[in-house]
Amino acid sequence: MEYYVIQSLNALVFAVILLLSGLGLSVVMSLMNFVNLTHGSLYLLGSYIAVFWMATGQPWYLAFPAAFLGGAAAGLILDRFPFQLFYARTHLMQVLLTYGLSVVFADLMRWGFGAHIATPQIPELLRGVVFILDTPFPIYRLFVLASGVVLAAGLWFLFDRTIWGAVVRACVVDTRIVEALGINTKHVFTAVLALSCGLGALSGALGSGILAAFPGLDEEILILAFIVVVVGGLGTFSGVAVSALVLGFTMTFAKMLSPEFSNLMSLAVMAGILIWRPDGLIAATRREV
Amino acid sequence: MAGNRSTLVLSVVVAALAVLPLTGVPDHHLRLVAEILILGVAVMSLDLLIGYGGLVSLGHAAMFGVGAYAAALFATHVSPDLLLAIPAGIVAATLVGAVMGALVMRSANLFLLILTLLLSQMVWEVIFRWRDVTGGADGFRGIPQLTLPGGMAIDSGVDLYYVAGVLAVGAYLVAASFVNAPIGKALVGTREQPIRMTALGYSIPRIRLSVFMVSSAIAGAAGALYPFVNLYVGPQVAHWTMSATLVIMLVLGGVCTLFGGFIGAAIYLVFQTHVSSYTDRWQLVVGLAFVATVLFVPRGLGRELHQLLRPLGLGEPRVTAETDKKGTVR
Amino acid sequence: MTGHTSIEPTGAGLSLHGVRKSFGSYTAVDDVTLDVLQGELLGLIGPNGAGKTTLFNIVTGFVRPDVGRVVFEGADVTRLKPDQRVRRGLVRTFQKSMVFPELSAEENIAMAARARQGSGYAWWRPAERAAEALAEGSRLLRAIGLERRGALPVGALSHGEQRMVDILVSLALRPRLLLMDEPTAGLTREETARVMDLVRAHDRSTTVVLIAHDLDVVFSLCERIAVLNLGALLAVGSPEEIRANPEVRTAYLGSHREH
Repeated sequence: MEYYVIQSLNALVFAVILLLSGLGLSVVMSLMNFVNLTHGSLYLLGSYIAVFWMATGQPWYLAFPAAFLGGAAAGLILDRFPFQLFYARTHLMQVLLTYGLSVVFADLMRWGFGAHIATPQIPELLRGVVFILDTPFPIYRLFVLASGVVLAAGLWFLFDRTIWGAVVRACVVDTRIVEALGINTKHVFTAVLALSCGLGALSGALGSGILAAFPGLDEEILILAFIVVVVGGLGTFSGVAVSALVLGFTMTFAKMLSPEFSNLMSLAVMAGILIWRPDGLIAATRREV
Repeated sequence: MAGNRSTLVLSVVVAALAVLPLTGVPDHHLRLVAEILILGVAVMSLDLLIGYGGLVSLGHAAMFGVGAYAAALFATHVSPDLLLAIPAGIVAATLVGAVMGALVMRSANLFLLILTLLLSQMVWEVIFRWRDVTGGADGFRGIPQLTLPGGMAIDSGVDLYYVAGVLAVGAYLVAASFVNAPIGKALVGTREQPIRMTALGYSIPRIRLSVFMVSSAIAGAAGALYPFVNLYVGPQVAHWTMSATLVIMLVLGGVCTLFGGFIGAAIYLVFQTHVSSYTDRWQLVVGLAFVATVLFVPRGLGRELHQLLRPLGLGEPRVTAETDKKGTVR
Repeated sequence: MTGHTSIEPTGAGLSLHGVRKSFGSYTAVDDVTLDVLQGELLGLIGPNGAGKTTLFNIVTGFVRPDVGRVVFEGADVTRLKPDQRVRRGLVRTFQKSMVFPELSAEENIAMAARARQGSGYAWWRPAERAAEALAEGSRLLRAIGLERRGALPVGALSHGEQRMVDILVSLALRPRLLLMDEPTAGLTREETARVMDLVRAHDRSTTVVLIAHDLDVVFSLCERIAVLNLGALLAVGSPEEIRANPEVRTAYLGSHREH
């Protein structure tokens, strides 16, 4: 019994990391119709920022805003060039451009940060374990779980409940009308991209205490986040959340059942969902004839 | 007219390839050309899906890999005869392709991309974990050399080069006849106006299944020859990153041209071989070159080459499609 | 399902039985029961949003009704997919031209002709089959006076010419029942007459259902007219009966006031 509770907590923690990285991807995909495959690179960048920040002895909690700002700054540059040229292009061209960039970034990071596994020095406060049902559980994981839930809730509030979110959503429906209201949609898109990139880096910073940072993690996270977003139905908040939970729990419990076949099982579950529902778990729009 | 002209061009290319070994090219260069031809065939088969069908698959390496392992296993355990081992790879890849085609039947766009990725990674997992049969992560070694029906071994770079050349020409003829036949036109129709095709009484699943099987068979043929280049095959040939590489080659060479597959494979492999001998950062260089291609030559180098050749009497490819407008995921 | 077929009245090419379709809380088609007689030309009119196109989508299988049955030539086709219905001769045109702009007009028509021949999926094709399909293209183009434009990509033709090619494509399927959604929009009077003449001359036994905004076209061509309003069938009858129907007048006057 305790065992299952602990595994469920682990699954939740993993799901939260998937959710955060997935949300960043999903925000640009649903709001800007842009597929950004450099998202995994931004995650890894955030992880490295956290690792290096925590090694400097600065206040540890500032590592997270630092990662967010680092990612957002990278987003601002990428938006300038070359992303803006590709916002109106087809998904295929976007996929090609951003995949190519992710290959470049992967090699740059391997060059700059080395090929070894870098782990952050977790602060004293988050280092130990708590006992849940007499079983030890790392405090850091609870910290990731809590911050992830708060962040996700905040994002949902931002896009769903504020005027700012309404403007962004209106941009998706009809750019010209929003322009006619005197709002520069280009700036809105820039802001959304920066936010998404910052979020990617922030999830990397949070995840670094669990998954560490190493070359190749960018690609792994990218693929998982991409799967989560697509299986969720491309761009609905609830779809991403449900899909992250499904993948998080499947991967955790499949590993428990059989380490050998865990990947196969997880792949089969996600593929099964897409075969059963070709438009994802929660489809964003109704298809019209 | 266009038919005669492309027959002429094809004959010239084939003749040039046929005499290439006589010009004293070193054996290891011929081996590289053989590898280019093999991967070119795989990229060309992917062009049927992506270019002509608008079906952006990120799982094509599964078919290539299954063809490779099936042929290698067949040659090792049953017979190294070329005329048996290659068909064994083709059959295995076609079966996997048929299953995958049936499962992705209802999917489109990014959903199709992810579903093909998931399914192909399942194939990779099987290859990776089934150590007793495939050698797992270490790959499969001890593959015998292919033999001709008479028993003559295909051991030198020249031999391999000619086998790959025959494969490439054969695969090109099969693919070209497919896209020019009614089924190929119907396929382009489903890419351009799927609703119209349904309203004409065409069954889109049937068309998609056909192209999946043909494309898988060709990819399987290419995969089947691949292990015999180095007498080794590793699980990375079925990994999704291999699929991504095939897509990159396709874009470099030009989507919806068929022959672009060979140009893309040539650019990529030559680049990789040369750059990696100068710098450890070859991934960076290849990545930047690819990004530059997407930015500045989005129609692919093969197509631009085609444009340059136009004054020489070479027309546009038969089915034209702007890569930035058509053949898309939306 | 097949047990019901014997009760269909003879002569009905298409019968709708209590067909209803809602999108969320909006009922697009509300309990429509209608017989279309074999070989007749029926006009389908109604104000904007009356459910005409949804009804076409239901008949052709692009939308599945919530309740009700669609019976075509005595067989229940409610559960068949669109392409299966087309192969039975139940063909439609779309409000927007749906041609293949990069292909020539002849090739566009040949694509349909091959589908009808059953050679649409062929790979190793007999040459005469292909020639036959292309010949059908030139024959139809000649019949409407477009033979000079047949080799051009359809995208290069005028809007009206594209509409005509679109209709020729449907005719190449040799429909038993042809549902035409605003075929004459964007055509001149003279072009409209040519198109409708060709449709009728192509095969007299073909049943035609015509949606048109131009009421003059409907009233002058159609033998019977059905009026939809707010998803429900308001009236069916001869042009004279429809003209005299006070409910129809109200529906149309009401919709005019909105403009």
